Amino acid sequence: MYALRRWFVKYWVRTLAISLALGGAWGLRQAQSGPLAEVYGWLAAPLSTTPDQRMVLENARILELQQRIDDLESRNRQMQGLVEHQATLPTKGTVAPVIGRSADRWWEQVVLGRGSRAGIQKGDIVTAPGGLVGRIVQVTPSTSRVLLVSDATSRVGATVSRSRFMGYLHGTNGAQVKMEFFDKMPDAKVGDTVTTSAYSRLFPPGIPIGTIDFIDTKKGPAPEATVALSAPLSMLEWVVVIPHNGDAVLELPELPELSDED
Amino acid sequence: MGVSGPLKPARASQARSLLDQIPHWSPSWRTSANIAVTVLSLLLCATVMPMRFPGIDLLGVGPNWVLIWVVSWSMFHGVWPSLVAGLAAGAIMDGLTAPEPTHMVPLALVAVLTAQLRRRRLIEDEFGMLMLLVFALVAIAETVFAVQFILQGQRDPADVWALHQWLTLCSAILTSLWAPVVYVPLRLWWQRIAQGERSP
Repeated sequence: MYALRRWFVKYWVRTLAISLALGGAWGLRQAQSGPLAEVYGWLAAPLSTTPDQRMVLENARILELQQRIDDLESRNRQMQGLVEHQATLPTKGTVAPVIGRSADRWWEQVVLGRGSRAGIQKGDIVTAPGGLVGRIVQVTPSTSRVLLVSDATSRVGATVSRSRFMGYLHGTNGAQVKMEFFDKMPDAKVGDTVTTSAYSRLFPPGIPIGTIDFIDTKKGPAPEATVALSAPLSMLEWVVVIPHNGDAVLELPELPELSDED
Repeated sequence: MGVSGPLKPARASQARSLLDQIPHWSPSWRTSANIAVTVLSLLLCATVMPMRFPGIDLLGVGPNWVLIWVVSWSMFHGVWPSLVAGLAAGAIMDGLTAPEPTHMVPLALVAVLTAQLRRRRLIEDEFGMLMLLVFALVAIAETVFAVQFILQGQRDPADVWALHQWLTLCSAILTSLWAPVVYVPLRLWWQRIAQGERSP
């Protein structure tokens, strides 16, 4: 007991310092460095770009196209309603600036300058001009972190638009992703467009991803295609975050949705 | 004072004299200031990790500021404090990226290696040596990381090694070139603190 007491008197400062350092760092790890992300968002705010005149004009043009699409989509929805087709792709989203890249190049992530205050939630879908970019994996009040589709741990269910053959995409930490087909003899050609598939739970169906660049038919057990992403991931500045509660969808069985329709 | 030589600009000499006062601060004030500088500098290094300053990044890779901080700390502290610092820095990096595989293993290894080399006087407190050391340590840390990825089994080993090669090269070049930016201010600080502790 005395020895313990003497040890404590001698070393308490050191023990306290070590436990504080490790405890604090562990706390930050568990909080996914949320406080640091907040400070980062605050630091990076003056650095984010302001749109110039050309961009304003381009944006106006895009807005015009968007309005036409909205019109077409609403008409489409009416017609789909007539044939009792389920509309799936949500249209409204939050525009967010990209304020940072992944802290370690082993992961393909970006940091966005909008967070839960702008209504962004974990599991939301991130798109950019060109198509799918990734999925929100962490949110703080004013920043959020996106896992890009090019990350090696990312898995996206995908479909070849022309022939509807399915497979899944996984990243290689480069500008291209690999698509592995479920079928042994898929009908896919170089130049075919690839979109998210209806069987993907983490992503809504029909979002464009990219085009097939190369097909390795010798790869077993099923052929593997190299897909060039249509969104320029290396030069992203603004993205659109679409609400999609991927995690909740994972927990829900699919039958209740079908019974709702009846 | 009484320096006989070329006149320095007034501002520089003011800053210099302010730094020279640090060893004469009261012990409690010195300790609390030291803790604040240490913690804040590490958090600052971690916070700027996602930033790619224009002109600093190489193929999308930025300098590993946290690794430079860990090396700087280990140059002036013993093996055990270095291990603790490496683990803490690793935990923070885990929070900034993804928890698995952990950054705690490579950064703790980097910290302990630096402290051991310094203790055995195999490295000197000198820029050229520091940059070479950082270059080698980045290579070691990235290799440990790649091995962790392969052991984890989620990624294709061929992809991991392909990424490892160019990532290590870019990161090592950038990190060693930018090492003095973090190292010099921290060295100035910790040297004065150590002076104060030697002669109270």
